[in-house]
Amino acid sequence: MVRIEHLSVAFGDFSLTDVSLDVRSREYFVVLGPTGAGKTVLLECIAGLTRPDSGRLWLGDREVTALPPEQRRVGYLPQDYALFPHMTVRENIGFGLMVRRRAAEIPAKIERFAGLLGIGHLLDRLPFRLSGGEKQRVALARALAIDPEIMLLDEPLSALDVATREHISDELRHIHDSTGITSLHICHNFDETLRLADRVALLHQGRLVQVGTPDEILRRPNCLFAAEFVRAENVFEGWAETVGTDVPVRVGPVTLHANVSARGAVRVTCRPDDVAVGLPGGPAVAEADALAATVQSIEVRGDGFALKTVGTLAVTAFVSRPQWRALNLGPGSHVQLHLARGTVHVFGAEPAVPNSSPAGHQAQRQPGERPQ
Amino acid sequence: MTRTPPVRRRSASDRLFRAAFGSTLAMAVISITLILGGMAAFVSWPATLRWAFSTPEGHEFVQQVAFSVRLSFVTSITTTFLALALGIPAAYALSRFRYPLPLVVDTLLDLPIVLPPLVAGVALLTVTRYWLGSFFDALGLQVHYTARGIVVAQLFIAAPFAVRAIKAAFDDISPRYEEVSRTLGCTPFQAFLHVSLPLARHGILAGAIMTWARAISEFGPILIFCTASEKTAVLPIRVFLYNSAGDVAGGVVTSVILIVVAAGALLTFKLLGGSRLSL
Repeated sequence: MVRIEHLSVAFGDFSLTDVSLDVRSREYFVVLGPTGAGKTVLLECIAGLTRPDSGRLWLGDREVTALPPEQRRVGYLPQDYALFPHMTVRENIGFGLMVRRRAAEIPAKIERFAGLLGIGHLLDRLPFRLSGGEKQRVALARALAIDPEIMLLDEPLSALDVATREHISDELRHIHDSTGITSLHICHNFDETLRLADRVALLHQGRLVQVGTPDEILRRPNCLFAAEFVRAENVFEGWAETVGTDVPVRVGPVTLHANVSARGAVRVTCRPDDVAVGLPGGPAVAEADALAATVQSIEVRGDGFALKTVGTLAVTAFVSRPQWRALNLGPGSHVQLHLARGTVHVFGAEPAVPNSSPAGHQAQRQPGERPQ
Repeated sequence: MTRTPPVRRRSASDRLFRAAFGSTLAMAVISITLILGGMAAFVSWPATLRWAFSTPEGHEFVQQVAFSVRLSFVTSITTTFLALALGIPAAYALSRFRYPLPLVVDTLLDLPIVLPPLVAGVALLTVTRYWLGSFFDALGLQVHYTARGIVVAQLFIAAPFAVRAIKAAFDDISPRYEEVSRTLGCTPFQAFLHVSLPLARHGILAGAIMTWARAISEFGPILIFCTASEKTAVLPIRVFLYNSAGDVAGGVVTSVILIVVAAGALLTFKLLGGSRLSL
């Protein structure tokens, strides 16, 4: 649906460098990255609002690199919604159709999208009388009314409170599923991504770092930046003597097993919820390579608890409430931890992008030590 | 039971501050009122009105002033429309486009505002008479010393006011609205027409009022470019003609008419635009 080839642009303080991307038809695709990563610039290039310095863009079968925005048929939802203040909600929604000389379709479109988004009671209001969530729904309706080939959403949830954010997030997914429209959503919040995305592209300092499903990014980050961005808590420095599947990797005094694609200095990560927790000598953890550890602190997290442990490796493990009660854990409890094969992921020690970690931080961290 | 509003007790320093600043406001209002009122009180209005409508000299005076009022309105309104027609696109370009030497362009556009009015008249006369004279002669068109020239002189001085006010209005409009309208299908002109122009309407109205007020009161460039003659006697020129002939009362009456016209325009502007408009 959207094909981007070697896109580069320098725009003020923001830039994109050699970005290539494919967004499939009917996909909900999220471009994720911290502030200043170039996400909005990428969106604006697709919308035609910013001209790339080099590279090519396709929407469907059409190359649109040099096309002006009005010929691209994109639905654009800016971060501040930008509802026309001098027009009512009805006029805002019908504006694109009016300009495109499709005024006869306006009543039907308004009825359809007002119903879909629950804004029928707002049609005669001016934008200044709308709440944040209402403005966003109206802006969505306005963008959808012109039957765009793709929806471009610029941080649609960042200006909303937590409760509204979750509700709108579900609505966005519902609208996407109902209309079947390809959606490209940019944000800086990985939790938002988990709720919405079919696939994710992680952007950092104008470069594409990793593309994959949310689960792939979460469990198999390909560099330290990606691991830190998804708040991977168990990232250790290690050493791989051989490449292959399920090969040994030394992490401090411990040997883990994982798939390794390059020899030498590596980083090893494992999700807290993939760490098995048991009591010493207990049946839950019976593997020979179980790690002895002591619970340092316990943090409430969602439906369970995050145990920060110290020992052979400083590991964070996640236990459910029933498991916590059954094991009767507290600070100071001695536990056995096991990082099962297949849950340990190895990636290169060097960052995938320049300066993706604080200068000197790698040199200071010891193997087995939890990153700060 | 009605609730009485709380009494605000002000400190001594607060009262002193308010008295000092309030007194400067009072001085300004009183000064303007005294100067203009003093001028108006120079003539006996009942006697003047009797003279104007019951004597041949009075009738001639009324006809001359009526001609000047008509000429002033026709030329200033024409100037205003021309200033808007040229000023709106120029202001939009200034606000939205990138162009070379922005500081030079900005200064050039403001120059007519700060030029001595007589200098503006000399410049206009030099260009139209000595540089473009043969061009206008070939067209059978005379600009200087004519009512046409009044519009040119007014436009030269007053148009920058329109451009400045309208540019400020466009500057206050986020370009994001135009960007969104482009994605909805607007060409750049349609985005301007349907989005930017309506949003700038208050600034455009303010620019129009400022232009008109400046145009109707313009004197210096008209004096040089069009001379002070019966044919080109807009209200300020009419005042000059009466005073030059020693007819101080005639000058005062014409000046009061000009003040009434200007005050009426200002009040209309404030009533139309409300608190959102400012000159």
